[in-house]
Amino acid sequence: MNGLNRWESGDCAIEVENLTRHFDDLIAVDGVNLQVPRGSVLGLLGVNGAGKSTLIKMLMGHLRPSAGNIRILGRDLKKEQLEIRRRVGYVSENRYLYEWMTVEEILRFTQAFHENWAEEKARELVERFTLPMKKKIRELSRGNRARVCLLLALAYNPELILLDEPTTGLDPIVRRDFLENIIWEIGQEGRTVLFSSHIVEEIERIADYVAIMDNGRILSVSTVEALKQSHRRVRFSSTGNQTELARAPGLLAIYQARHESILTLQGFGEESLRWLESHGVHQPELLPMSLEEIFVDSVRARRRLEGKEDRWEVRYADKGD
Amino acid sequence: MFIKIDPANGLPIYLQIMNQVKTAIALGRLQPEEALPSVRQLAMDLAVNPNTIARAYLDLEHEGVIYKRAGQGTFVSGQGVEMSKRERMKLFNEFLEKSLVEGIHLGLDPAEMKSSFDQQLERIILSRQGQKDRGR
Repeated sequence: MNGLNRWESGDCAIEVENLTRHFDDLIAVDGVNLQVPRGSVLGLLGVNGAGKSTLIKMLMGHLRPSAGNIRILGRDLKKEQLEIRRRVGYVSENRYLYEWMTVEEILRFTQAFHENWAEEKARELVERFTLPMKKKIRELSRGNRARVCLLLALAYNPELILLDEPTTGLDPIVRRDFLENIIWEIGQEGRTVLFSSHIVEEIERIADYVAIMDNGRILSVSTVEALKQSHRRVRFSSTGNQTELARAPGLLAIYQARHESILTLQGFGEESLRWLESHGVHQPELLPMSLEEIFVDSVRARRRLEGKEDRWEVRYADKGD
Repeated sequence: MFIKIDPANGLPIYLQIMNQVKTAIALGRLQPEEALPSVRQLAMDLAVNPNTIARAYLDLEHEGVIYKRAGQGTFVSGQGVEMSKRERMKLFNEFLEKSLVEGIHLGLDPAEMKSSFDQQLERIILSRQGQKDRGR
């Protein structure tokens, strides 16, 4: 399922090997392996606290790993951090900015740090984002703040862009606008984007690859399409007993009603159907799954394995049951 | 022609786009030689990764539904598709089989299904004719 493994080092914008980070007793990132091909968009999908931000901060060099290696754009992050930073754009979760500066001032300020600042690009972005140059940062709307952050990350034409929950807290109109701007930038040859989000729809729309993260670990990396191809829900009238079905290959979840069952299966194929057939389930209805459903069922299945969640979900049970 | 995609739908986005382009052509909402939006523009309009649009366009091109004119953009093919009649019938039969199986699964009566087929076909032909008559 790890379709990214076929890329060689030279073709990767990000290569992470066995990356780990502790905070005292807490393991925030746990042995992560990840390769992001140049020119692709990778969506990092996970709930709050899954470790996405910690991972991204390590990729930026803001946090030192407890263990593991990071290569960005083919260079070792430990050895060439400054050189790498010139070629990476970053929007943090908290969107830190100097509140007392005006938009104009913060542009000039940031420009001073980047010899590869592209004035024309910056001007184009200011115009496209319709930013009020004379306003102070603290007077800006959330949407405009987010736009300033994005502009600062893009104005020196970085090869790689890291976005940590870029649209969280933005209203739907602003969010859409933000996405469109990111998409416009993706259109540029060779630029790589890694963005983290818990808004599944965004990942569905714009990611080439999605990495599902939970509890510090990466559960899977694949294209959105491959995920959807390999997961199915099968629906049928309840006949067989539940314990038997619990052994279905690739089972992620069971949804049980009085006369009806739905199984979520991973790695779905002919074999799955044959197994079901041999256990009394004939010609079930096959339901394609949205990324959100795949995400929720995958994460819950993993948590169940680790003993952190209950057994199967029961729905629509009568009060008398 | 407006395309509406549903990211949460189990069908990959590029396939949704392809289907809608083909449907628009069948219904006369896209005319032969009409220009399609650029990959980048459509990506922005739909808020979707440009690679997805590029893929849809590429596959549509392979199927002969659209073609690229160097430096000018992408256009709907002229007289119908370049695929052989046999290839086209094969594709159509695949879609038809899926629909029929679905209908049987839903417990529909074959006579009802056939009647529905006839109605839909008539509606589409009328719509196409209507577009042509309006001199588009």
